[in-house]
Amino acid sequence: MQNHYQTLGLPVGASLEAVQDAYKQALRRFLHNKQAGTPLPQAEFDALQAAYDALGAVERKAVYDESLASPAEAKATPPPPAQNPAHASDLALSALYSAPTRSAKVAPESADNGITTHRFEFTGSGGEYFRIWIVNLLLTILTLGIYSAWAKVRREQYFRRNTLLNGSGFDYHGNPKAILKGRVIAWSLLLVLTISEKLNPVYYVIAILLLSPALPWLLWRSFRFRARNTSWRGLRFDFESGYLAAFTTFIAYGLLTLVTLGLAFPLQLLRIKQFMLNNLSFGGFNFKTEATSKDFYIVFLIAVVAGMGGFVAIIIAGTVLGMMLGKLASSIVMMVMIGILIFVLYVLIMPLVITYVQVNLANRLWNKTSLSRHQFECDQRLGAMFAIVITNWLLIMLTAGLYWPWAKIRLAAYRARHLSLIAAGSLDEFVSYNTAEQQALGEGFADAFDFDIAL
Amino acid sequence: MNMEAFYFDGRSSKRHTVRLEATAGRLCLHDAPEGEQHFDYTEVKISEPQGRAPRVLGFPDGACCEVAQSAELDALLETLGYRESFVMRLQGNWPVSLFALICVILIMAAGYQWGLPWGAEIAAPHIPLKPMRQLSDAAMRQMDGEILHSSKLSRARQENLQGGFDRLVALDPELAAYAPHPRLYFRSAPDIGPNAFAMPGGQVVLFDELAEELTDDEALAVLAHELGHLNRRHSIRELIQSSATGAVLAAYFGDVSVAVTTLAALALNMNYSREMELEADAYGAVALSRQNKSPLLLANALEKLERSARYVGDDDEDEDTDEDNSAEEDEDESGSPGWLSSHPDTRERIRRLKELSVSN
Repeated sequence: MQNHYQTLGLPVGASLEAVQDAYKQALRRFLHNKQAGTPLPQAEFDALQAAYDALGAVERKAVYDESLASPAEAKATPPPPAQNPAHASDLALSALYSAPTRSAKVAPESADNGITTHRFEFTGSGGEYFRIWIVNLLLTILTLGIYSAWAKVRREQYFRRNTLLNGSGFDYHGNPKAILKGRVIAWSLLLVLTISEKLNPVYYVIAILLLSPALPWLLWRSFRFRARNTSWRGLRFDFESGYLAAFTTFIAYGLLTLVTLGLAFPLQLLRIKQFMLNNLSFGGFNFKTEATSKDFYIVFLIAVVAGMGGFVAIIIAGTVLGMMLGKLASSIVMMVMIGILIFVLYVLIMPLVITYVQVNLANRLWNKTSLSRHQFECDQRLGAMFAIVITNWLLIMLTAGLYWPWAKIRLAAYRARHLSLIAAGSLDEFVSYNTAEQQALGEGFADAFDFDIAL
Repeated sequence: MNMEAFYFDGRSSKRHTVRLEATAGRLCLHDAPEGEQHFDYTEVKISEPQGRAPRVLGFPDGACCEVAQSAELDALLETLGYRESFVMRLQGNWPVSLFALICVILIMAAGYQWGLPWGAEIAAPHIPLKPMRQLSDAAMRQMDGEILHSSKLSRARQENLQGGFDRLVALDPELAAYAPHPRLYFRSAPDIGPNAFAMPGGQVVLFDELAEELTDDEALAVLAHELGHLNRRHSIRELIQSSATGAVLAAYFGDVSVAVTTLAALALNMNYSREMELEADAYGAVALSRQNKSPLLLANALEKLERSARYVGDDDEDEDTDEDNSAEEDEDESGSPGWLSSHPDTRERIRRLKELSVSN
């Protein structure tokens, strides 16, 4: 029998990164073969899963490496400890080891046990969301903005609950009062900034300096609020981070971006995405993204080069046309020509470049993101997305904004339908550790310390 | 009443299939992992319907059921005693939603037409003038370097106009108390043409090109009109209104395009100046009659300026004066309708001024 390193084709003691990399490549091979109609043997898949169970996380890998080192227990999978749900630590251990026991025996519901691609579904419709939006708007106006917090809850619920994975919807549990509190705080800060800017530039700078340490804290709490109030299959997401990480991500890298005149922006964006994903967890497992700064810089580099290329091409085309027509027509024609050029530039090239960046960043980010043993896959296409963006934009203009809810739904539907989770095995393995804690502290705790600032 | 649902225990993502049965006020879960379970209606947290999304029934122990949305489910929930909330009934109904849309449009229109000017008028006296002075000084310096040149008016005319201006200010107790005291500046701007404007910091600027076309009394009538803008704090009100409109439009169109927002705000705000222009005319008429001069002087000035066809407006308080003026100039020369222009129809203004002079 091979040891787990051999299963992954790695030398014994290979690094965690190498293990994760090898696992993902193997997973793709299995998926590819399955899609081609020539699935690889189930035993091989189970062996791969067992290898990942033993090596996929720091603690488990350390335990396994130790067992390899001591010959008596070599190659033996550590036995699952007795499950005692009364103790959180035991629960954690059982989560660590429940997966190996599952893949060791042949599970009964084998249909859900192999490698499966679960595409996210979206069931929302523009007409429904329009009605929610307009009633929200009216009630917000009539209550002088107070209802906006309840409106946010209804909106978030509509989008979350209409997003489905493997037949189950997401859900949103935000407390409108906490959201209202967050909005009051955010608006007060904004007001302070605006007034200080109008009064005196010196006050403005002082206000910025005073507020900038608070900003990472607000963002961090707001991410946590979102995560903890989102659930799937009755389990809440969680977001754990420290203040220092938030400060580095938003302020230190923000300053770096300023100092380098934007050259560090892709790096900061990557750090923000890493902050948002790597601190996010579900059912005891952390999301993990391995997107690199190279991924992000390539996207921005291509966008800048293509954008400038497009700009130059339009100028040249415009000049040539202008020279050809200039002999025939008056200066008014030239003016119109320049108008059209600017129109094309702004209406087509800018959104095209922005859409390119968004689509490719989403693809590169999610394709390198995993949750436990499961991989995300994102296959947004520039052409399809650009068609949505540009028609949304035109219809919003033509309807004086009334098309807005349909536009939002179309974008959300496209994004959901082009994201999938390549699940290695069942999605039943997620467990909650902190239900007891959350229930004990209850809603009052959330009220006092949690809030959401709309981002 | 009996139907299938997915059950999650709130501790793991494992999916169980259960059967729901409802009797009046009681919900029963058959085949639940911990055996049959009964809940009172008041214990069950029933999610609001959200289109085709599955409904969620939450239980006190943190477990929940996910059920596909269907007519049978609605019937089951009704048996249980569930009634949709008021807001949900509003949102579920197209006619009601369209009525809400009409209400929103009417409220917005009313707010824009009456609420905003009313709010700005109330807020304007409370805005401190000192920062306005700094703002206006900066704008003045910028224009002096670029489009404004020193005046070539004769000293005698300048002194005469200055004297008239000082009397206009002195005779209005409100203006006499205007914190940065109103001051008259003489400038020449051949690129812009006949013009005069007042800035929120109290600077009133008169162009040589305007003075040259008018008699001293008529020029003073124009200055009285400008002081009307100051007295009624038009520029501050305009500032408040445009920032408020801008904020609302930005929130509404925020994701679409900043350019659209700016353009829309600009086009919409032209409307305010029309009413303010008439207000300033009325003030000017009163100020003139206080000095025993006829309001007709202002009407004459307008007529002369219109005849010269190059009168392009006189109240551009902001830094972007040059752009505004050149745009308006184009429109005036091509005889565009008064709607987009920041000045009401000159004939209308003259008619009103004549009425005022008759009533005096």
